[in-house]
Amino acid sequence: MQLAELFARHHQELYRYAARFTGDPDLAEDVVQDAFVRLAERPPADDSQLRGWLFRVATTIALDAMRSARRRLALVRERPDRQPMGDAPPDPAAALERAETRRRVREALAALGPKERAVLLMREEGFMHREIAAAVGTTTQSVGTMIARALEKLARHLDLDEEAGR
Amino acid sequence: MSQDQSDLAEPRARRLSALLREADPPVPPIAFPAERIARAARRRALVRWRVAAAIAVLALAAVGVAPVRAWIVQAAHALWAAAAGTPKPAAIPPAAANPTAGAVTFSPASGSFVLRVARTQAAGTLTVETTDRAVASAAVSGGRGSAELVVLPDGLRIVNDSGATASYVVRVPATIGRIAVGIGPAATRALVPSEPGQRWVLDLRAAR
Repeated sequence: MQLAELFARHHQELYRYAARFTGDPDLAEDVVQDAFVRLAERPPADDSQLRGWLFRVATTIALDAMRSARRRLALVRERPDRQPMGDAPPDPAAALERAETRRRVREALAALGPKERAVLLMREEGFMHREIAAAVGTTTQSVGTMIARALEKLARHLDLDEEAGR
Repeated sequence: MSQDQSDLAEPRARRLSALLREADPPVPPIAFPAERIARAARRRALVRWRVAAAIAVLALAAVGVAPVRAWIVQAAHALWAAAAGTPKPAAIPPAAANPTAGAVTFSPASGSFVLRVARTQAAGTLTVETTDRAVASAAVSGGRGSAELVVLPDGLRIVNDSGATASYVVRVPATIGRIAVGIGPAATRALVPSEPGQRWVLDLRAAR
């Protein structure tokens, strides 16, 4: 399959993952593009694992970029949401509520370690435990434990137990 | 993972999914990085060309070194022998080649050793010694003029200039039954080793 086709197929989910992982929409765009440049340069030996490979590479690129002092995340975080051109102006109350949710989610995710965050967010993208284990470099058995622990930590910051009756 | 954690994981995960979707920024139009990919491809091609050029230069330089040339001839003979179905000559171990220019070390193939000097010279001698080692060696021991020591399946050929004054020392295992020495167009002379430490000195001019 051509690179452009792969890009068309995967870039949106990769962007969503990268934006959640980094908490920075601008950085997420760069991560997506960098991941596909990396794919062109050094494609994986096994094409059947391509999706997992892309997410693993995106995680590595995101971590490198986040460590880099070149990115000033604090400034970006204060930016208002980007809205597609032509959309109706958002309802101020709804926009405020959504911004508040975004802030809480971002802070909660940031409180997790990179590996926990990657495991949890890859699960959100529908990866199997063995695929997640291969991507983050751990055993399949420990992925379930890591997910449960990560959710436990998030539950302290977010209202995750509302529906669980706690 | 505790039972409590396990029981709560699924509903928590569902709630988290809803929160994440709610908090997700809209996906912007992201351009396919075609230009960056093309640039990267051009960079890689340039690097490959540089590496290939460096290898070519090194290979050409290596061919000019007599031991390397001898090794190449030996390898060619081995390949030919294998292709023709003839007995394979003893290979030169990769580490056996003497790093000094004009010297080689090798394992003779059989009980008979043919030593041929291509031309008579203006001066110089050919010394043949027997040794208790299992490998043979040959070296240019002085004088002037260029010479190549070419290892062959059944012995050694010294490709020299007629104006050279260099001398050569060839050491062969004493276990070799017979050494046939030919200098220039003269008839072959037979040497029969019987023990280590034997020595024959042949005048390269005398053969004229």
